[in-house]
Amino acid sequence: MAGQMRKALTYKLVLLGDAGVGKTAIAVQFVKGQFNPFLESTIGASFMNQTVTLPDETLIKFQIWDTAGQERFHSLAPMYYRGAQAAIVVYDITNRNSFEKAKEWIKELQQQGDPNVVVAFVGNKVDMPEARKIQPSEGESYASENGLFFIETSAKTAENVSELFMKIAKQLPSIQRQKDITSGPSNPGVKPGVGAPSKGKGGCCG
Amino acid sequence: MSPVALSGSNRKEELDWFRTDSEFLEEQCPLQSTHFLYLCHYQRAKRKILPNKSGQFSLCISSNSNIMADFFARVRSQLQRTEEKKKAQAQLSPDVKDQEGDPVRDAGDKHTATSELPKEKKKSLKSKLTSGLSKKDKKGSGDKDSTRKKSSRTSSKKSATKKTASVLPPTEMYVDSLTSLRAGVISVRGQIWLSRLKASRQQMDDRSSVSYNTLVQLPIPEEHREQIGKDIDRTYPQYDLFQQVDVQKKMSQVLHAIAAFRPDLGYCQGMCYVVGFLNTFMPVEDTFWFMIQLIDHFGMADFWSSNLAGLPRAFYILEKLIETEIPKLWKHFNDMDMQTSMYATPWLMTLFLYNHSIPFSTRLWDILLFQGGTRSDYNQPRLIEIGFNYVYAIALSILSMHEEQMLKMDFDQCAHFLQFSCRKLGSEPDVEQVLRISSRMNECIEPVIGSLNKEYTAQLLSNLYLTDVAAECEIELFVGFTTYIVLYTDTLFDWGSPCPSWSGYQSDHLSLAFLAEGYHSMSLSMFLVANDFQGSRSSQNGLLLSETIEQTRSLKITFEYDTTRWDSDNDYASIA
Repeated sequence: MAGQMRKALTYKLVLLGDAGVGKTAIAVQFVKGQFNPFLESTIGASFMNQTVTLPDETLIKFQIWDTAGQERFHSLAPMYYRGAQAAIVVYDITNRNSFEKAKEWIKELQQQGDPNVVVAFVGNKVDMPEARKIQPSEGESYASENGLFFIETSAKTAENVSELFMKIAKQLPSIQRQKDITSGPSNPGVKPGVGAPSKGKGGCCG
Repeated sequence: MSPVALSGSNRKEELDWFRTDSEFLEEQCPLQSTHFLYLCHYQRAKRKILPNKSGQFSLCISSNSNIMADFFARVRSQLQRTEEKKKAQAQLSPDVKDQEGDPVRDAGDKHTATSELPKEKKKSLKSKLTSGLSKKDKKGSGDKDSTRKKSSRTSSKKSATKKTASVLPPTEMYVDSLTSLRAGVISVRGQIWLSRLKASRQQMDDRSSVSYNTLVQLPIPEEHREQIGKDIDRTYPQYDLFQQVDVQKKMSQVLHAIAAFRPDLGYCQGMCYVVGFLNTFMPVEDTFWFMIQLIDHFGMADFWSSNLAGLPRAFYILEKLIETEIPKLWKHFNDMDMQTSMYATPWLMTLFLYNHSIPFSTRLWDILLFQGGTRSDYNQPRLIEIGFNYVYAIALSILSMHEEQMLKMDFDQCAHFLQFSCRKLGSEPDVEQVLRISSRMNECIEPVIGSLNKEYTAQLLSNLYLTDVAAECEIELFVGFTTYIVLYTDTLFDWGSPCPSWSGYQSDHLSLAFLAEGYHSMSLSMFLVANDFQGSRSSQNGLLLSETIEQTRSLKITFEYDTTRWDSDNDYASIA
């Protein structure tokens, strides 16, 4: 591009959660600003990207990996969350199982994911209050116990969707670092997929 | 003593002997891992090994050389008989020259399928083209020939006289049908595909043994029922057709039946596309059996299994093939860190349906089903491997067709392009291009895929905890054949205390991992570790290794000849 003004910092973000909780819908709402009740089921994973601008004008580009929800795709998930700097774990507030499943995802991320990954715990489908099974307090308390941030969204009405991504953007580690250590030779623009320092890659020092 | 050294005085000879015979077998009848895979699956499903009609060989694994000798002798005599039959048939059918310039034949000749066939077959093809459909119908309804042999004999006689070829052996029918396809007779596509996969009413024995209507009534686990319900609305949302209630009902019915028939697979996301797609070509019951054939004989069991065992392997193979066949693109992908797993999952799991329009997919499947198995003969169980390998050829041709475009793209654009842009294809020239490129690709890659398969397994094994054992096993393992492993298993179990990381694997993971290799359960412990490398997760429901070994031991080496397929030998052996 001719007049490249500022370079966006690129971050890999992964969406996890049970099938049919609205992972794709959240991503599509965020990326395209649309809600489509007839989204196709995700097979494997699908990829989207979107850029947000923080209040301080920092550009954050999300590379979003939207994963398949069915249990058997679970074994593929590490391919997508490996190296991700952010994860959104979604459950459906009208479905108790999906809440339990979300908790499992959190556990797995804590055990296997990048230690610095920013995790959002998201209850989706707040546009269906009459069918609600999980109270906000329940999600809230689980999130705070585990040091995650919690938000309830509706991919249908777009409620809190961009807020969700904005909040993640603000919490991303290198942003923090850049703010805290203003002059430090920080590491801007973590490369997608490969850049994230993963634990245990310690050469031969073992 | 080396852990894999064979004990006993005659083990060395035994090994040589096995090697000879397995080489013989491999040469004579391309038994490869997928064959074992589906045979094993049948055992798992507690049913008898699939009878012979579709030309498979039974599986025999035993460390008892007498049993093996017996088995091989049977296979050999079966092969001889087949040969003799073929010869006899050839004598019966005079070699009639085709007329020059026949348009249908020309069309056929362009296609490798027809060009490899004996002339008499082409002849009958040609004669059938005009009334292909009606003949097939006749065969379907009227002819009750129960044995393949009989029917093929009769039919070759008839096709020799070529007046009333009301009964055609499958091969002829396929090719004939293919010509019809190319001539644009598409209304019969479903039936043609069915017979191609040997899933039609008269070709598949199972169809009479299990009633589709019963399966539909059977209960299936809640998780599958629920997931099917979720996915039905979300299949082909871009087409109005699939939003219709009756269409959706049919889809869920077939998916239900599959989950009931194959509890080991249940329902897997991705199946819904295939079922929906097939339902537009054939009645639900046919779709069901077509799916079963895809699962058992086309290798889809690997991709729809509960741990998706086939995927990492396919990623590996595809990646390697891209590296050799489209090196520039491979480098570009590599530079961007674009991995095969990021775009190829739906290609493999829905056989390209997810990423392409229905019209384009339809033509793609024509290619896949017919190009892929061109060397298949109804006497020889070749269809299977070649069929799935052709998926790689198509994947490569899709990539290669867009190479120039993609070289100019960055990661985001590429990822987007690979997922969505292919849906814009669909015009005839594209299909022709795929056909052209994929058959060229197929020639290059077909010989390589087998060794890539082995290479992948070797990589898994080379990460074995007990590397020295692995190193030796590897060598022997990849000489090629199941039987070897059995020789080792006693030794394998004497490795001593299992390392801690072995515990807690799902039994399903284990068996699938090893089934995917086509090996007998006695070599389970080895694949347990191999599976670890694949990143399988431990599970609370999993079995401890010790339990697994115990289980494996109690399984014993069971083996069944399915002698129904060896016509005159009606004995049935089961050694426990």
